[in-house]
Amino acid sequence: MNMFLVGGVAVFLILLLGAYNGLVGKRNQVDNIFATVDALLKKRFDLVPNLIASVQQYMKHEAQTLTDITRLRSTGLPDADIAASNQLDRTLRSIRINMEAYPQLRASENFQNLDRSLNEIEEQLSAGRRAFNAAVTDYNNSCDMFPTNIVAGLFGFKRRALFEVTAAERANPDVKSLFKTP
Amino acid sequence: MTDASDDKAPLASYEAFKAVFRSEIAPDLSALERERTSASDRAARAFLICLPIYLFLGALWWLDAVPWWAGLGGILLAMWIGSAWRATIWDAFLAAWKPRVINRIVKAVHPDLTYKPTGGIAATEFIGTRIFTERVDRYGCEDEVSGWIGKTQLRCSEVLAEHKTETRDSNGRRRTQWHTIFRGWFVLVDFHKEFTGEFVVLPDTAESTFGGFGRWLQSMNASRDSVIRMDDPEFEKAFVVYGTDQVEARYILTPALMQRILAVRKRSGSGLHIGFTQSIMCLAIPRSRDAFEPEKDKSLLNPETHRQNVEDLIFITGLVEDLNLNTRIWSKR
Repeated sequence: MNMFLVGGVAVFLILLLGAYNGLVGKRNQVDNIFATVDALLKKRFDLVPNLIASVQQYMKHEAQTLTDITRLRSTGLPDADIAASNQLDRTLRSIRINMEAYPQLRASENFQNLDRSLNEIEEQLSAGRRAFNAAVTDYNNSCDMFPTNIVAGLFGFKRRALFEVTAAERANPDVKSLFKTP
Repeated sequence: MTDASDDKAPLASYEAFKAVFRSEIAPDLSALERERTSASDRAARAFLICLPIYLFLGALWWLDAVPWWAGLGGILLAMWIGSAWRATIWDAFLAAWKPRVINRIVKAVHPDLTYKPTGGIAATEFIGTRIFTERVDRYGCEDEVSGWIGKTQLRCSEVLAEHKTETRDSNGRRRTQWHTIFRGWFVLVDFHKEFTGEFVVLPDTAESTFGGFGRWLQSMNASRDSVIRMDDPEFEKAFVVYGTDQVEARYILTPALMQRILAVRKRSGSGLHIGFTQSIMCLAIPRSRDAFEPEKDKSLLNPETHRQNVEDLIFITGLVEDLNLNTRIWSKR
């Protein structure tokens, strides 16, 4: 009888340990990918001064947008303020769309390099967000599904939020309004 | 006579090839076709000369007119001489096939490509992609095609990679068996983005066979890096992705590229394996037939004789456009 009890407790502890470690591993994976996304956001953030230096001599009519983007960068790193980061997203997008109207700018070697770097970082950010969402979904499934949800509740594992596309990002960009309205 | 500059455009279909073949390639091959028909006639005559000798030796053996070993030895010797004779008849035609026929077809399909009959993807390159993790004990390659498709460099060859197993029977005799790891086209193509990790995209046999248990088995695969679950359900159903970096894997495998790979898989067959390493994309496309080999029994002047080779070449060169690899908007030019 005692043997069965000891065996049952041992199996229970092993399952508990497995579920707990699984949840920790998935949470760490979420944090790890979030840190990567954060690093990518910082990398993009650091490209902003170069972008302004490259475009300001050509895009004189869009002085207000360039002032905005400088202000947005000076507010701090993107992860510190999601709203500022989203605003930076929109402003960068508007600048890049309007670059079509400046053939001299597009022909500049410096600008072309910068444009390629921005394309790259945007694609990496998109990949980072997809990876983050996949990791969060995996982690949230463990938090919600039986029997790991019991372990999650017991040890305080909380669901994490996905990266979501804002309503403004879903809408088709109105180039003129994006560019001219602060 | 058509101007050389006219055939600069790459061919996109077998129908387009047929038009070019009739007007430009077939006239160049007519001399070799005469050589083929002549060799075919001489080989038939050689066989007719040998046949009575075989029958005579067979009769001697059958009637016990000579000791059995002499009869058997005589037949084998006569057959060996006969086949060597016929082989020498075909020598000139076979030697001319690849340089004159295949080279011409490769240039017709894409003028910027170069063909080397004895070249190929080296064993170290094949193993280095880590698409196949089995130990390679015997490796062969031939028929290298290389060049630039727009801004993208491409190199491919036929590859046969095998590993061996050795067993001993109850009498202690050693038996060696060879197992095919991969046979078909191995394509290396310059990927349009820089990346540092290593990734493989393999047919998803475990999950499609065992469902959730298969997924667990995949995650337990000690010979591979971590499983990367992709966010395209159709792609995830067809392939399993292993790699060194979750974010970089998604940087490479964008939603658009996943759909393009699925489209390529529909045309290549479900055995398509893909690897990404050192900013190179590697595609292993299984084929059961030996491509580019001489066709002794078919007319060279009939485009159907070349159909399979042409379709393989168009498929391989088309991969660059199919996978959108000429789009160079990132740091890598």
